[in-house]
Amino acid sequence: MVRFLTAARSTHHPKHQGPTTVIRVKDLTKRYGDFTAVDGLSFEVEAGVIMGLLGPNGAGKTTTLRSVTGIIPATSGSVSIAGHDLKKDPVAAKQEIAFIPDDPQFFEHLTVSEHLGFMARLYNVEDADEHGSALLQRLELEEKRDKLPYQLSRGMRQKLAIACALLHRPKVLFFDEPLTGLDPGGMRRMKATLKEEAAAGAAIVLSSHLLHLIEELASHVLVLAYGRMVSLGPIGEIGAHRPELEGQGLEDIFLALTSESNAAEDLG
Amino acid sequence: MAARLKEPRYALGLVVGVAYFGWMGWVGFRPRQGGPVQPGLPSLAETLLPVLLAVLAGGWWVSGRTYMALAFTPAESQFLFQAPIKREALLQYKLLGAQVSIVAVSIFGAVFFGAAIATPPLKGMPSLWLLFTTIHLHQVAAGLIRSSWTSQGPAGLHRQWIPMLVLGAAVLALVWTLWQLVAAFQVATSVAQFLATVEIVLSHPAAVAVFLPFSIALGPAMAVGVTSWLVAVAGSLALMAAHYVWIVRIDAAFEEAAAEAGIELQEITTAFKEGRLGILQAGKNQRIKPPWFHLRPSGHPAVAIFWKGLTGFTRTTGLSQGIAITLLFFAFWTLLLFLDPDPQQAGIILMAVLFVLGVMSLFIGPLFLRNDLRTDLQRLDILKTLPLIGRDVVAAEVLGSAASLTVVAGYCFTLAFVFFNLSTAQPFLEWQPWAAFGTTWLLLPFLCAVAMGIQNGLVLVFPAWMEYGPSKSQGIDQMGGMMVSMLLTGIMLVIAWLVPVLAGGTVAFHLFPLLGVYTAIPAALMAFAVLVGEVVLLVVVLGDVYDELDPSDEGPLR
Repeated sequence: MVRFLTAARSTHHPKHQGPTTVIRVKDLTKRYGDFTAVDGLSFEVEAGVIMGLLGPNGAGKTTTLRSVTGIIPATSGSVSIAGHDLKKDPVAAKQEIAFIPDDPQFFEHLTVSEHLGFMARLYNVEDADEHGSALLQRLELEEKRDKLPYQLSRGMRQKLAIACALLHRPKVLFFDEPLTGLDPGGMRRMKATLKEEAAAGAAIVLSSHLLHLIEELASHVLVLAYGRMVSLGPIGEIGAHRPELEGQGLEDIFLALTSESNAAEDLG
Repeated sequence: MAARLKEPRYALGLVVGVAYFGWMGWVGFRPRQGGPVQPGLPSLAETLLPVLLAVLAGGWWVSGRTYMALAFTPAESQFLFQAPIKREALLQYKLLGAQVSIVAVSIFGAVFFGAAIATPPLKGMPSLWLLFTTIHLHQVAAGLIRSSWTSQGPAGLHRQWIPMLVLGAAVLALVWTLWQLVAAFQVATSVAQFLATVEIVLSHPAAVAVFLPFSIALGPAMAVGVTSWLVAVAGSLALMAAHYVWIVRIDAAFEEAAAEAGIELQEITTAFKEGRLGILQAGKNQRIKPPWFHLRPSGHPAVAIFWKGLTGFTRTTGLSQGIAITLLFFAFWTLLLFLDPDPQQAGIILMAVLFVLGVMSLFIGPLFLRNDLRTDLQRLDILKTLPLIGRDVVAAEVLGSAASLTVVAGYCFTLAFVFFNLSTAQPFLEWQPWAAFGTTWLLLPFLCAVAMGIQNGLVLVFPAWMEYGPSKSQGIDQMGGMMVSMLLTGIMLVIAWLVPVLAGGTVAFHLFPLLGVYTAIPAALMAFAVLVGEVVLLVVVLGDVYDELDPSDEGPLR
């Protein structure tokens, strides 16, 4: 198990002073009948760290994300978010989480600003009006505040999901393919947002097939294949135990690691 | 579906579904007593149906919604409009494609509803097919002419001068006939006299001329005896053929309207599947109604879920609709007073109607008001990440839709109370109706909560039997399951409501000798307490079920 370095933090998340492990996953397993989607996964992420979650299709990335956010119950193992056990104290743990799926779902009869009001009440965000307006402005959604979700483009919907997620200033952010549907300008702003949140002290887990995005943003990566951990560590060190991969880019390392895993699975 | 059948509940659903279809088929095809062909429709319907059809057709021409009959899906538009195909062939493709649903509806209608009007399926099927095909052709023709008008302006209409002339004459005759009918209604002193005048008006040559095509189209469905049916079929076939020739000769540029109609149809279909048809219309009209109350950012978080559910209801239901319906009831009351100037009878009739509507809304309303977990299960990924325990989520979801149902049922009971009072000598002055009205409003929210709790419980425990979200389960087993679940819901609802009634009744039985009529107060309070207990029990049990729910792809909700 690797313990990640703590990145710089600001007063944006005043509760997090000093290095803190905010995500602690231990022996996480998720089975569906005979099929094991995630098999004994363990990792930790500290505040201010962006961790890339990589793996080929069917590797168990989404199942992992959904298990650690409390959407689906794990078969065994434990998940702790900001010191709160997800199983024993789910409300306190979820209070610190935000999850942005690749295809965000909304309540079709609530407008953009009403979605923020809804989230504000759920998370008791006292300064929701000011913070919400600032978020809408930052994400260029101000003019759409009275629109219904179906009236928004794919990119706008993605931005609304992010506004809802950031409203309660979560300590942990989980992103599943965050750049889906965004135009180049939107991508740039999204990357800036991720960096800002990490700099402000949030731990971010980023699942994506876009390896250049992970390379650009993440300081650490967790590579999965067939539900098992293939590699975990700082991005510059994941191929360190393989001399032939030295100096290779993330794409080559990723393909080498996962193809080995494929071969092992096929033989098994 | 095959995988689901391994579970007994779905296997039972299949048995019930197959039995239902088998029974309906047997009812439809069994030999009738008293000869091979029974009278098709009563004579009153024979007189009024052509009028109704003519009014509908007038609506198609005026509203312009007929272009939907020409809708080409986005895929069809993309591939067919640029292909080397004649416009006439495109039209024939569309007309032929529509036959799939027309034939299906004709068979379904003849088999399943034929029994109700004593019409054998072998007569009903071709009769309905002729009627529906002619209606469809007429809609397409109207759509083409409108398309010619919108794409080419007055020149487009000028090219279609013959149909426009016929249409103009028909509209004039129709307006004249309707005017005469209204005048007949105004002078009539009884229903029988009104109907007699209707017969006279409709036998006028102008009325006969305007309704003739509609009578011909309806002829086979209403014909009695084999010979007259064959004659009617010949006439209807000729009318259908004339429509077809008319369409082929119109030669209007319809592609743009057809593509737009296809996109709109797809939008409507998606909105319907996702349960947001009302909100689609509201958004298009830029008339998004404000929520009933402002949600403050602090307080119990579950209130947000309740607010969200209630806002879903208020977005598609408004005060203006309530006022319009109330005015309609008062107009009906005035009509009753006109026909029989006894205020007591008119008030009692309307009270009875509204009371029955209120009771029916308690049974049927939960199937239609779905602004709760049945809608939100499709967004379980959002709900599950919220910092709420299952019991809070279930309570807020159930209370959100229960509040909506309370508004609907409460509206009916309130109007029933008003009309009851209007039927009495001293309206609103006697205390007993007020006591009953107050008790109703005391118990109503919890009666609704129990009804909604049962619906939400069923969707949590048997997700594949209940409809939720856009990805509806399909198959005969699912349909049979729906029937079983509706039956179970009814039984559970009756039991759930019977318990507080029995508890209140027991209190009344024991205290009546002591308190007399005032026994109603402790009896109502006991019923209220038992109802509240039932709601709490439902929330606790269902909350725990919700906490254990696994929305994963391989889980029970997919």
